Amino acid sequence: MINFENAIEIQNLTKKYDGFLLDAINFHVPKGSIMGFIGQNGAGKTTTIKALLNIIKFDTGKINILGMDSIQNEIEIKKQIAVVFDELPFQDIFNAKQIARILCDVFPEWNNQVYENYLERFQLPKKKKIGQFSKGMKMKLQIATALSHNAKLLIMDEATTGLDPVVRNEILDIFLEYLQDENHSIFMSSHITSDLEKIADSVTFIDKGKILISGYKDEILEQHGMMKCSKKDYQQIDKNDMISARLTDFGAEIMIADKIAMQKKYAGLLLEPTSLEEIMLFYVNRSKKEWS
Amino acid sequence: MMKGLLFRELYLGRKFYLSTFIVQFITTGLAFLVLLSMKIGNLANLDDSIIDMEFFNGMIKALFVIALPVIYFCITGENGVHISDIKSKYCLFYDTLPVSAFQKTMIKYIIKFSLFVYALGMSMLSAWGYTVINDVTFDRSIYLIVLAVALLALMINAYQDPLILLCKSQKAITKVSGSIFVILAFCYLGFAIYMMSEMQKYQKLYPDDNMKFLNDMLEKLNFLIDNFAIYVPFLIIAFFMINFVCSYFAIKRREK
Repeated sequence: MINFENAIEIQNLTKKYDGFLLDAINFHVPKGSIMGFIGQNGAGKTTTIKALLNIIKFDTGKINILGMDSIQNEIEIKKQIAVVFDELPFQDIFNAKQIARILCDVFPEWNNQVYENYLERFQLPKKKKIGQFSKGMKMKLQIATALSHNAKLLIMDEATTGLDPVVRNEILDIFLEYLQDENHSIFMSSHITSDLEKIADSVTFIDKGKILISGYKDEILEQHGMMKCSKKDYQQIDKNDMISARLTDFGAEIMIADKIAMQKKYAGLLLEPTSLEEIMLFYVNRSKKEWS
Repeated sequence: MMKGLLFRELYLGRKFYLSTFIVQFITTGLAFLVLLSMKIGNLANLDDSIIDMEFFNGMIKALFVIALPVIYFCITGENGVHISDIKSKYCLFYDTLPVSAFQKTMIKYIIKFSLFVYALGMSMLSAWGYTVINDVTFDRSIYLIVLAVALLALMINAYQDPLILLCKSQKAITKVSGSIFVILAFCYLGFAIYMMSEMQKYQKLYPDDNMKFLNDMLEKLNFLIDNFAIYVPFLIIAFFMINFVCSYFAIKRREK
C-alpha cells in the first residue's frame, strides 16, 4: 500500500501541438477531495486528462497518480482509477449485463453485486440495449461501471454535460457519497460551474494552455469579488487592480482578486460576492482588460 | 483478463462472421451436391455424350474458388470492429483500461488466427472432398490455389492491419483499404514490365526459337509450384508474425 498525500500531482507538464501549447502546468488534487477543472472549449482540459492517462505523450513534466508515476506504473494505476466521459463508450447493441461481462475480467476488483445494486438504484434495465437508453440513463450506467471496481480515483471529462438538472443533481449526490471514503478522490472537468460550486473542494482554471488559478474553491470565492460602479467612477480605478472589466451602458463590472484590499482602497464602490462562472469569464478576457 | 474483451470482439463481429461462413457453406455445399450427383445421383445416370464432365469439373472448381475469399474476409472482418470502436469512442475508453498493448494485440490476433485456421481448414477440407469424390489421386492445383489465396490474404493484412489501427476515422480506413488495389495494380504493372523486358531479351538472344521464352517461364513456374507447398507454411507463420508485431507497435504508438 503506497502512502500518498495527493491523488494527482502534475509538475511542469508541457505538451506542444501545432497552434497550441500546454505550458508548464502545475497543480495537485489532495487525496479525499474533489477538484473541478474549469476552462472554455480548447483551453487544454482534455489534453491534460489525456496526458494524465498516458493516452498522449507529453513533452516535459512529471505526473504522479495515487503516489505512482503515471508512465512507469500505467497498468497498476489504471486498475485503481475509473474514467467517465461525456458519452457512454460502448456500442448501442450491448446491454448492461454484457458490459459487466466485458469489464469484470478487466478490473481485478470488479464487484458484480455492487454493479447490480447500482443498476437497481438507478432503475436501469439489465437486458435492454443501451441504444434505447436516454442520455441520463447512459451516464448513470457509465457511473455504475466506474463505481463497481473499488476505484480510488474518478476522472470525469465533461460527464454532466447535456444532462437535465434532476439527473445532474442525482449524480452529484452519488459523488458526494463516493467521497465519504477518505481514500477516494474525484477530478472533474466541466463547463457547468454551478455543479462545481456545489461539490468541489478545489478548482483549477485553465485557459489557452495555462493555469490561471488553482486552489480551494471557498478561498478563491472569498478572495475574488465583483465591483460595480458608474462610468465616472470607473475612470478612477487603477487598471492594475482589476482582472478585467465588463463595460455596460450604465457603468462597469470589475473583477478583482483581492477583495479585502480593494474594499479599503475603493470604499465607496459596491463590492459583491462572485461565482466561479463569472471568475472564469473575467479571467478569460483578462488580456483585453475591458470588454462588453 | 481477456475473456470479456474477446467476447466483445466476437459479439461485435458476429453478423459478419456468420454471413461469411454461410457463403462458404453454400458455395462448397453446392459444389459437393453437384459432385455427388455426378457420382451417385441423377447426373451419374446421364450419358457422357450429353453432358461435358470437364465443364462440370471446371464449374465445381470455380465454386470452391469462390469460397476462398472467406479466408481473406475472416481476417479482415475484425477490422470492422475497429471502425465501430472509433464511432462509439470505445478506442479512447480502451486506453483508460488496465490492458497492455501486448494484450490488446493478442485479443485481436487470437480471433484472427482462429478464424484464419477455420477458413483455411474448411477450404482444404473442401479441396480434399473434391479429390475424393472425383476419384482423383491427388489434385495438387486446388490445394495450391487454397494456400496461395491464404498467403495473399495474409500479405494484404500485414500491410493493412497496422495502418488501420492507426486510423482515427472511417474515411482514413477506407483510404487504407482502397490503397491495396493501387498497390496490386502497381505489382501487376511491375510484373508485366518484367515479362516484356524478358521477352525482348529472349527475342534478341534466341531469334529462331519462339517457344524458348515460354518454355523457360513454364520451367520457372513449375519449379515455384513444386516448392510452394514446402515453404508456404513458413511464409504463413512469418506473415502472421509480421502482422502481429506491426499491429503491436501501432497499438503502442501514442498520439503525437
